[in-house]
Amino acid sequence: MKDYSLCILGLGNEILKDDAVGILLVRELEKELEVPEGFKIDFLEASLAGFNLLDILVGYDGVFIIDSIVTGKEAPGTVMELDLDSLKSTLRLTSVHDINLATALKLGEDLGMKMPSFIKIYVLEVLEIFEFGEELSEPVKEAFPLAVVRLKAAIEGLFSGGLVDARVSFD
Amino acid sequence: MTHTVKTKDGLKRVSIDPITRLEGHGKIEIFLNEEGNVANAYFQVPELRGFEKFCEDRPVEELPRITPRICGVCPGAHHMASAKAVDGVFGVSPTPAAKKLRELYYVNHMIHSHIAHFYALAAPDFVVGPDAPKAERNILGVVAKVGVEAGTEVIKHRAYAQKVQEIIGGKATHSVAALPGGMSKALSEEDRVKIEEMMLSQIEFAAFSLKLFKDAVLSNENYVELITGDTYAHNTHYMALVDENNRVNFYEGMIRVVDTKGEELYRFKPEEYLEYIGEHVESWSYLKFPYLKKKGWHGLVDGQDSGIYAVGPLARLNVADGMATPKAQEAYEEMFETLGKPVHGRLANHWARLVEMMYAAELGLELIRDPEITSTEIRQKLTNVPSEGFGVVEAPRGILFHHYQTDERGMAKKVNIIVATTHNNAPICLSIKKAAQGVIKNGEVNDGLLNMVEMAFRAYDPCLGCATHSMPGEMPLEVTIKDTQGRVLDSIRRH
Repeated sequence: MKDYSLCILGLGNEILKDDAVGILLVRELEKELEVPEGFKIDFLEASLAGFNLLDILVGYDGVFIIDSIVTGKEAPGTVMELDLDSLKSTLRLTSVHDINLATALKLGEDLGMKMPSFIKIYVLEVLEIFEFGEELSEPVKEAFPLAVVRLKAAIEGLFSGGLVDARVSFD
Repeated sequence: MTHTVKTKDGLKRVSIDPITRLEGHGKIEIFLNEEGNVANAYFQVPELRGFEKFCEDRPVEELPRITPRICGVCPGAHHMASAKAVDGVFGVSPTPAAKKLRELYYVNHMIHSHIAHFYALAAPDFVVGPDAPKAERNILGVVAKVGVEAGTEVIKHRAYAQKVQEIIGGKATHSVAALPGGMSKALSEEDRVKIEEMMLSQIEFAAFSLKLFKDAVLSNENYVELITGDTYAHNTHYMALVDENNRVNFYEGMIRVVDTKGEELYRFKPEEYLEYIGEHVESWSYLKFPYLKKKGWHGLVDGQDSGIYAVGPLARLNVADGMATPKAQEAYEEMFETLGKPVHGRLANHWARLVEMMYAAELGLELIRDPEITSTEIRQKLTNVPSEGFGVVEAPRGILFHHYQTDERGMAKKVNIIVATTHNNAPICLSIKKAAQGVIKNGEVNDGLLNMVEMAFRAYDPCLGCATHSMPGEMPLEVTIKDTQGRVLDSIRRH
């Protein structure tokens, strides 16, 4: 049987302080996650969404997206799972210049492209995204190791059978 | 509103009302006079700090790799402007082959950006229709209208343009190829053949897009009225790069400014920009207002005496006397025969983008068929002491300036960047004010306010990320209407 192809995609801007966190988390996960039998995993990074996501995601069976978010209501460093309806709140999964993730996925489907049938979006509450710099803010830096552990556990939990069942619809 | 539930894996699942994320807002404030009509309208964006400081004391040759990261939307434009500024710092010109490679890369950057903008943002209004239900006014509605086959062509050609940038630039999004005095990688014959096929296909696709626009727009009087009517028109001056024959050039040339009547006002070298461009500051905005210094700043008013100028696709065509390639020249002539010249109606930017898409495709084919394009002579030696450089290109949204100064070791000491959205700040404010005036009468606010305002600034496709050096997210739009005392009368949000 063909391996289940999975993409773990980190979104962010590496030079905009906490905005880098999606990318940094994926780099850590690449080091720490053991790829189970029957899976093929690509660890990718991107700094923009829109049409670009269509290019990246086409062909995968499943995708984990890791991004940052500022809700102002959660402690910095808190890992959350985001449903597709909430995409507008994320830093990067929408784009004023072209299309958002849900539209990109639907467009791909409408055009007969093979789009992932499984999507999970995790976001990390961040603090400083309005100043250029290569360092995470202190609270996010402190919370980072725990965030890696929680994301790893969440993803590993899904490897054991949860992946194929959790189909989502983009309509 | 934030709704939180626990899931079985122990993580919180959150649904967030978009209103809670206030950062990153495009904020519009409309002030009414005593009669309840629009007195002023301000467009505001959040400030991102510290980019110049971030660049300081870094080796200047790193800037072509750092500046594209300001923004994920037009990294190619920053890469090119920055590479040219660094050429200037080291007092060196790229070899002819390197210059051609850069231009080939850059026309593909333009194509990719124009396709995304036209099909995701303009076509929903013009191909699907401005009166269509909001749920259909998106790219899915466009595909439903033009068909799956044409929709597939859109995606394919956008991907082609990305691919060429990747082949030449090393990476499609954050390119690394341009170095002071040239490029890091020559083009192989194998890749040349691939790109030639793609450029041929782009020409056909540009012709298809032009026809689609003309069929949809020119056959409909209401659309023509939208473009040529007064609602979205402003008598501003225009600024763009031109070649020696005053034709559009994305990569290099002289900066030309034409006035509200289309007559040449100035023609100057990029390094002279400080003599011609002033920057006005308003206490209510982080974003500066560039203006023509010799005309002076007379407030947010248009007209021949105003110093306000606009940049972007329409500005480029208004400034130029023509296009350097045949099919684009035809399309250019047709546009101005239909609309007159200069065109002040901002929605004509959408048509101008398609004329430029054709030019970019034709120029790309010319470049890829140039025997020198696969030359391995792609880098000049650096022998001069570094000092100061200016890099100016036409970004998809308008002219882009990079100006660097270094110490004698080549460490960046001063970095100044003026992006298209900043050049267009005053025109955007004018457009929003006019759109608001059309829908607010004697204190009565028409329901169409947000749509009208949205169409007004969408034509510029403002890049808030770049303008404030931030990354662009969704731009939830908040419009606040205030009376003469500054009391909030109404507030409308678009998520």
